[in-house]
Amino acid sequence: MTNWRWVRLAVVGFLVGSIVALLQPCGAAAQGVLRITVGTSLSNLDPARTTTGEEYIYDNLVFNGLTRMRADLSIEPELAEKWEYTQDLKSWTFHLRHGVKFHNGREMTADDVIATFKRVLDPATASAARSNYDMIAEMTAVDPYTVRFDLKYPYGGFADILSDRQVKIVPKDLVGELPTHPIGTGPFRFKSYTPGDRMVLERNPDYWEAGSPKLAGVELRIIPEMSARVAALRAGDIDIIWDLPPDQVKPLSEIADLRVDSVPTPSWDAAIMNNSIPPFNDVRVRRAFQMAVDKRDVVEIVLFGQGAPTHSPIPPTHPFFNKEIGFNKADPEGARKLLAEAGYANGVKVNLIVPGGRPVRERLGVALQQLAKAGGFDIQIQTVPFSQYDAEVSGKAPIYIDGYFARPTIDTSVYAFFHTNGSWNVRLWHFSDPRVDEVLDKARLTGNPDEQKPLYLAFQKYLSEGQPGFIAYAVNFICAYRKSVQGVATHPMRWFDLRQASIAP
Amino acid sequence: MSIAVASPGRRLPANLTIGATLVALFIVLALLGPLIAPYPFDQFNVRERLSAPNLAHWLGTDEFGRDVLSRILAGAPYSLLMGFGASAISLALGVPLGLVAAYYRGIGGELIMRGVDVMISVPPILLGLLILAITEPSLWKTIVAVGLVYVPIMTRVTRSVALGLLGEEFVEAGRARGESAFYILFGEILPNAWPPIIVETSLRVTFAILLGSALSFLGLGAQPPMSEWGLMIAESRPFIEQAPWIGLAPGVVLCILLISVNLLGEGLREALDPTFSARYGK
Amino acid sequence: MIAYTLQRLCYVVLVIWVMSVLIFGITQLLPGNVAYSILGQFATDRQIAEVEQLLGLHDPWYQQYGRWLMHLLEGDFGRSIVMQRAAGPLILEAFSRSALLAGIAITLVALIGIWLGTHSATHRGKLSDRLLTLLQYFFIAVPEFFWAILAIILFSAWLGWLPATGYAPIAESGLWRWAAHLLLPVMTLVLGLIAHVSRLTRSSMLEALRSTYVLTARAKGLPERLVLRRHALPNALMPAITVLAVDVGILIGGVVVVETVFAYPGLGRLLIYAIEHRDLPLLQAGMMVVTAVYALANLVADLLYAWVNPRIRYRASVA
Repeated sequence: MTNWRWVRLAVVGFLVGSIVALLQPCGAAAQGVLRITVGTSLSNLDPARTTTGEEYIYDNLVFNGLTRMRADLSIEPELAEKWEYTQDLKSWTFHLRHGVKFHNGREMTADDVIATFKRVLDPATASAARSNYDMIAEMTAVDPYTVRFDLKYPYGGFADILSDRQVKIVPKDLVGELPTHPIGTGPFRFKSYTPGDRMVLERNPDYWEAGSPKLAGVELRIIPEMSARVAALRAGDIDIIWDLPPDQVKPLSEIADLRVDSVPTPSWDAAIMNNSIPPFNDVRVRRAFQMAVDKRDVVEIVLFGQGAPTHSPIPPTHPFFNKEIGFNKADPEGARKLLAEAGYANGVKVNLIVPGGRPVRERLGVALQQLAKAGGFDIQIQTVPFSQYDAEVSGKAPIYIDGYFARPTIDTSVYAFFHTNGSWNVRLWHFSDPRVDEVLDKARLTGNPDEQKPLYLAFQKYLSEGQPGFIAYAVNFICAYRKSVQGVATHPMRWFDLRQASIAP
Repeated sequence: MSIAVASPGRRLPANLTIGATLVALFIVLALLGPLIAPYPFDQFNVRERLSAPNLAHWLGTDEFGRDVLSRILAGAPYSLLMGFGASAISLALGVPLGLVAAYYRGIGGELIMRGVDVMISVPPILLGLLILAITEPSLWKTIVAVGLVYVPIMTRVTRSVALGLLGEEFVEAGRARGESAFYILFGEILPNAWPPIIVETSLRVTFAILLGSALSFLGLGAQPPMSEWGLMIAESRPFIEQAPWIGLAPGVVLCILLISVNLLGEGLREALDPTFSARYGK
Repeated sequence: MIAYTLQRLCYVVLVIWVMSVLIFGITQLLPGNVAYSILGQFATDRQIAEVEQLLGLHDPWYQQYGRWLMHLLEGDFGRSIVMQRAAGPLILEAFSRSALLAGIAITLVALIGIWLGTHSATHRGKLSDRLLTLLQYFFIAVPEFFWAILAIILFSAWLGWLPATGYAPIAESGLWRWAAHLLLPVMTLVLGLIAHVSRLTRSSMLEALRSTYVLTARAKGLPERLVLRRHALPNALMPAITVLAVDVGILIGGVVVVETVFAYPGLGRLLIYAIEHRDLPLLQAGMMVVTAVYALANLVADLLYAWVNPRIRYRASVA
């Protein structure tokens, strides 16, 4: 077997040699490229049509809006250097910066702004944010650098909502190219995108803010497996993990090279109940569910403490939070009694749909299934990929788990969801309470927080009586960073402001 | 591990005895599971979540504080059902098809065999994925899907065996006596054909368990909070570093089950028909 | 040989055609609606209806099928609805990456598996054989997904030796890093199959060694290694080749799991993405590619088998 022996030796030698060679430590970023990892691919590259957290990161890097939201949720100018509004809050004029260039070199003007908003308002674009801007009656380009918005009704927070993800300014003539070759004015230019693998963005050398960005580029890497993401961060293949699950906070905090940051946000998760079909069309059934489960237990079980129970999208950290309502301890007998009153003496049997691919919400489903059992709810969990929610679940299933990201203002966080005419309401709970409608309408009409506060306090009270769904908690937003990453704050709106970011050698 | 070449009547191969014993053990555990488990499989205990194996929890706890040992015991029936149930389905559908295809050599038989060849051309996991994507996933549907995936192979093997037997004398005698096709197939051929069929079925059980747990791992089989082992391993992924036992325990048990079933299958093959693979090939 | 090849080729075409009908049929049954995937949650019913009309989703199924088939034959793989770009390049790119993974895996499986099996057979009963047999039993029973998770933990997190994600473009990272990224996924794929192939090689080698040609060759006084190489090995290889072809199917299954766990952007992951998003054109085109590859792999195995074993050819040409 002489020949065989040499062949064998050669093969073994090659394998050993390669393994030894490959054991060289890997890591070390290509100079100045920040690598962020997310869990799912982006489907939409057109800002008006983006709806997921991963897509919002991209929106904020490649584009700019008229205004920008800081990490403390206050507003500052971005593409608009200043603005004025009339006393009646119905007419707003924005003065655009001069010399801001799109990535293809053309200057941004008022026409682009108007085209952007027209698109968002056009039902044909099917933008998720459309109803947030339905107060806009008319837009005029007073001159190439000035845009005036005339509103149908007074809206104090108008400048605030212009910082939102879907209204980033896009070039009016290149709208058709957005899905494949997006062009914006942001600090980073789109270079390439391989679904399932990564999106590559490079530095915009002509960015209008001097001295920024510092990075040579940004990569959004898509790694569905959480343990693979953590392993990559530890090995130095990745610099930031976006949206770290709460169960990873403790183990990662103990590692020397890493830093974990957890900030409270208004983002919330809930068991959404369909108020228009049985069994949850009866408010007593909804209240029974509420009685059966202690939200504080839920936060502990599902979030490992990285969050706080809440009654509505208004988070406990907000000055408008209604502290008097309180959270009930689990009361299974009370729940069963209420169910019996509503005609369900033998309890309620129902399917709870849980989003596949969203582990924290899946855990919420499992936790609620178990906790509500004693209260008379016999729940079967059904996992549906969250990408199928629109077609099969939202607004249709009797009860399902879903969650929503923070919005720029209280009004945008609650109006669309709880007002009878709210655009999100019909896709969720089909909830209607005239008292809620009244306070929400009133609150919109004033820009004065002192006037808004009592209205929103009342809103939360009515909500806790009407219980459209089981709003479990406001969840913290957590990211893990390698210590070499500097100049990045963890933003409660779940995007990254990377203008001043850099990587220490 | 000696591989004894046995002929019926002699001492049974070691494979067979060991395999059968282990599988029997699993079946007993599956049946007794709920009775001997220290805790209910879905009971939360947040204070003791993610704890390593200790006296109170022999295999530790998961992220909800549920006892891993109890969950494994509760999950045993699912893997066994998957393996044996799916194989039973492929047996029940594949054998008659194979017999018919062997007997009716003309158009009917050809059509069946072409259909079989086509189905074999699809990688099992993709077929499984497609079937399960059509409906809401559940354990029963996975068992049926896996069973369907293996029908073609059972058909093929049965047909091979039946073809071999069709030329035998007793078949000719049966035909001369005027017996119906049905009787010849099921009354004469099948009783003589079953050794290789049984062997093939037992080999299928291993694959069925593997495919079934892979599908559960991908989210298309058992649903939470059921503690099917593939699902348990999938759910352990985020915690695999802080609490590896959540995934290791069901994984190891699954491997032991698979080895046992494999041993049983191999042992049956040796006891019943040592020249099986040479004669019936692919 | 030519006649046989042609016969098998026709047959492969038939199989692929029937599969196309099946794939088309099953995907039509998928619940959920791709129009929603395109338009998103805020589409009005009228818009959904319009998009469905545009995509021809209301036409009778045979018309839709015919149209799809025609396009496929012209090389137009359709347009991924969710990603709004041509499906063809997406699939081809993903496929080339999966093929790379599978190719390396199967080469290693063939080389190492056959070598191990031969060694086991020739050293039958000795310690190394027993050890190998033990390991084989173990490896066959470990599901791919379990290996994958263990591998990530051991080699990537604890030891920090190897990267956890499966793909680094060779242009950017150079040869070594590209290979390093592939090592874990390939290893995971290989471990499951090697046991199978080596066991089969071992048993067919054992039979071959007992066969008449070998006994005669030995009786003639031929040196042992010539006996092995010229007489035993070729006969032992036949079942091994068939198994390798069947293993392509198992490999594809393993590839799907491995691509998911290691975030490797191959065809398996793309197909799962397509199923989840009900992206029918992408799904249909992708499944056709997989089926065609599998059918061709089987064809190659059949041809190899026939070439090595002339009796098959003879029977086929006479039948």
